Amino acid sequence: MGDNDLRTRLLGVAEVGERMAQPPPVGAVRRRGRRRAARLTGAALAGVLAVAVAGVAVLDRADRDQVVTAAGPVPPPPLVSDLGPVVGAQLLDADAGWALTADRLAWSDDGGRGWRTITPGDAAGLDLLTAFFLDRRTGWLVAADLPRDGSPVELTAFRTGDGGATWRRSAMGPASVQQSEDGTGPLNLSFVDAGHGWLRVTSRLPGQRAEDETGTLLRTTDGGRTWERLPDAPTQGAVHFVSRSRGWQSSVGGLWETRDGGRTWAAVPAPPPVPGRDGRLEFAGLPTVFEDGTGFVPVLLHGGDPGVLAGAGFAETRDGGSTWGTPRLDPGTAGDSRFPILAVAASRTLLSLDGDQRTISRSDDGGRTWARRGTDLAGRGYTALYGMSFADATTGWLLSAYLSGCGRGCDSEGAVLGTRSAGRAWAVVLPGR
Amino acid sequence: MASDDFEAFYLAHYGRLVGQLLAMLGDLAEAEDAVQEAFARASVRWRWLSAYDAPDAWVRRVAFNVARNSLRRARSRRRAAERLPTPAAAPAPTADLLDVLAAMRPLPLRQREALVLHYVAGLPVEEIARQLRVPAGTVKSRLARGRAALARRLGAAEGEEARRG
Repeated sequence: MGDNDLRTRLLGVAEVGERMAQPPPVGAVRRRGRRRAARLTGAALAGVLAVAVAGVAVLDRADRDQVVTAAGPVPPPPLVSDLGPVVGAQLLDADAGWALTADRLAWSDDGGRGWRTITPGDAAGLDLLTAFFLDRRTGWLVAADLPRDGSPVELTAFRTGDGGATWRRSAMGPASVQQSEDGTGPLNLSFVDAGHGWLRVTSRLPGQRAEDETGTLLRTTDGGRTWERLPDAPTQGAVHFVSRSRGWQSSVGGLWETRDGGRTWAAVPAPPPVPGRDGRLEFAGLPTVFEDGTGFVPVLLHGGDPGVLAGAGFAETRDGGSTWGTPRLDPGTAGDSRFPILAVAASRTLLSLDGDQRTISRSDDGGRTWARRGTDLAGRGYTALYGMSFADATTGWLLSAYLSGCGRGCDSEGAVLGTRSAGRAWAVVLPGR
Repeated sequence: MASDDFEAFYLAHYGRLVGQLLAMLGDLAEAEDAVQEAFARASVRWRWLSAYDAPDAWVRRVAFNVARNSLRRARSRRRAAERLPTPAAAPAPTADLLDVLAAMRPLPLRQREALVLHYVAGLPVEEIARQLRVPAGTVKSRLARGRAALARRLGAAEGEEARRG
């Protein structure tokens, strides 16, 4: 069979496909894109930029072997600067933070100027999926040896109590793993203390559409030694817990709350309408709740034009998240066709990075007043930024999306940017690829 | 291109991309899902993508990546020939189409990807290498092996038909 014959026959298949293709309304495609973008924003607003490279559907309860594992070489490993594309990061305080790539977990004690790997020795060869650190010493990492064909694989949890110097391992059970194209896979960890944590995974079964994905929850009450599977969560969104009983799950336009540690969930009613502003309000991420019971949750106001945002801002709680007040919108967000990136930087400090990255709005009074300032991000070629989180009112990190298909015009995949000026100036903390 | 042009862009390229993905995946529903996901991602980045010389190339790359990573592809491949949907307005799959899909199905995904990008999307070897982030020699090797395997399988299928006929 010659080249021309082969081309003709393959083109014949493609032509049949082209004729049979039935494009859904463009509005449905746009909604799917916006839901996806909102999901990214939601995960970031948990205060954790832990973004996995894979989605995991847990099929069965875990084995519970525990193996002591050593970290990398001793003495402490040398500093590294080239980690490759970062798929998750968490800034714990103004100086300490971690970054996760597909095969390395790295730690910085100086705001990202220097990095050393703290990857568990036993994780060599595994794909690192997500991580979470409660403080500078106590953290967790979930990994698996991802098969290329989606066949079941063992999910493994690692835990450390000494900042990654040593790790202990526990098996979580067989799982079917779905590689994520762009590093924003549906999986995240949330811990409220050294003992109690949750792993959220998205179950997308063969043949199931993205809109029908459900959330699978695993919970540990012994620091990650053992994990139990809870009843499925109502959606596939990221989870964030603030106590052993109370947590939230954010998904497409909605927010769900649990008060029994994830066993049952109830939808949180939409916040009260904004006076003088028409449109439909929806929660757009996970709440940040402080120890005094105050907190904020991001909201979006959708107007008549489905492609254009009518506003974005935050609703406030003063009772630990039981009720949410009338949202206060950043006036700079109306009429934008792209989602702003919203972050709670401190107890009263809110930030809203405009969708075009050119400006950032800041409020230091819980959203009552806003000041809009320019950023130095414009023209730097970051195709998709997400996951802005702050350790304090001025110090934060921001990720550029890891888009393996991004190509030209997207030369900084999986980069971490850092600011010490509340988002006005951003320096490259890790260059990504 | 202005932001309002996204719909025109979407409608102009949707079918062609589905065709390319069908040739690689052998499953129309899977192909459409990958293409829809790619366009969904493009829609929220349209402000940037619309400035590209060929935003359809970006969408194609994302669609191929989505397809490559799809958990469902293995199952879909196994039953592709049997469950190819046939909307009322569309032609029924021909025997040749099913033969080609059946011949493609056992090929390694990377070979199918190279074949479709080269023969269906019309990309030169160097462009495929850039897109897949592999050396050009690797692309040539995949094309050669894929071409040989496909020819062998299609030849065998035709021989079988001839014997039956």
